[in-house]
Amino acid sequence: SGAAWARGLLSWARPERWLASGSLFPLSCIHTSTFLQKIGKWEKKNRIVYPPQLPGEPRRPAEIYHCRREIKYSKDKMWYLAKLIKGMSIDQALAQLEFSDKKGAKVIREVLLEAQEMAVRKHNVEFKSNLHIAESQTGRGRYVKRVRCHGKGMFGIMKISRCHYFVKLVEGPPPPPEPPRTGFDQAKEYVQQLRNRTLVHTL
Amino acid sequence: VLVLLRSPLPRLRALLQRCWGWLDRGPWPGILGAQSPPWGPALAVQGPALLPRGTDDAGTGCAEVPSLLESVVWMAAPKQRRTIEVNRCRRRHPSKLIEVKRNIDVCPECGNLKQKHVLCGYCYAKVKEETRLIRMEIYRKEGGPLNASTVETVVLYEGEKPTEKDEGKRIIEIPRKRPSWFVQN
Repeated sequence: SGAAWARGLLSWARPERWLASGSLFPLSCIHTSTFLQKIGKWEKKNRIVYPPQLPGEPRRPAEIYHCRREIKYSKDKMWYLAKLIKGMSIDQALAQLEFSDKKGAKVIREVLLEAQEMAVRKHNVEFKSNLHIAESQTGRGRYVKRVRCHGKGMFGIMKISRCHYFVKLVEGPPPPPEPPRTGFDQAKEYVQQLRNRTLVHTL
Repeated sequence: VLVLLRSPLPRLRALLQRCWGWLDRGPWPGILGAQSPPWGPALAVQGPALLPRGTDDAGTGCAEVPSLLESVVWMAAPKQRRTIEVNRCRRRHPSKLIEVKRNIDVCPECGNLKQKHVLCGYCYAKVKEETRLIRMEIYRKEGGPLNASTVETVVLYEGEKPTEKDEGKRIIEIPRKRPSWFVQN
């Protein structure tokens, strides 16, 4: 709505509307620039440029950040889908989302395909299947309150919720899943903690 | 989050006033007042034999079942706010997370993904589209409702001739190349 207002203001302010026809100013040099709302932090992460790597260093894997704002879905329901695809390879994630019955699955699938396209075109990724999902998060969008009519003249206030979805793709095969913590590991950690204790305020 | 608000209708206001009156006077005073009260004093005392209603009715009780509006006091309601930690344990329990599906395969015909027990969506859409075109041809040939043929139908594409097997059958000609997956018998 802010963009529409600003656009309306700028279109009113165009001088070509005031000057008579056959004026000196050609139309081409005047353009209405859209007033962009604040660029989010996630979008800015794509702009960081690292210094060139030294010959001996291992190759830094490419990172692609992509997001979609103001999706008409609940952030809690979207979180389940984001949790499903965390840590999967992109092909597996697309397969799982294709056969999921949830509304957010279609949206996330589009976001992943867009991100894959961006990776191949702009971020110098060689194989589009060689990507895995490092991070996938949801955020709260703008909520709007509306009246919901009940019987007998009663009304309730409902909130129409929207969410954002953020994804970070990293080049390379997905990392192997962590082995579950056994009792033996926990016991080892406990013994190590006991051994790490020292005497304070002493010689 | 849903919050019920009462709009001030005169009908509802009257109902509320009646409810408060009942709570003050005690439930069903009319019926008890008609009969002689069982808990009145047994001695012959001059003066009003009836004790004021309010003190007895509230305490010793009435055998009557409280109406729905009074049983509102005894409805279940949460005592404490559930903390976000407790909420998270419930919402993120493994039984509530979405399971990873293991029944996804590749369709050998078109190469798209398909579930093992379901037809491939792409191939199904392809066949559906072709069937729609054949049906349009049939509709054009029949020329109206209730003209369905009594014999079998054979579909022939460009450059195909009817064989001896197709003797008594209705022939539908489609001015297109035969799709590779539609095998001719």
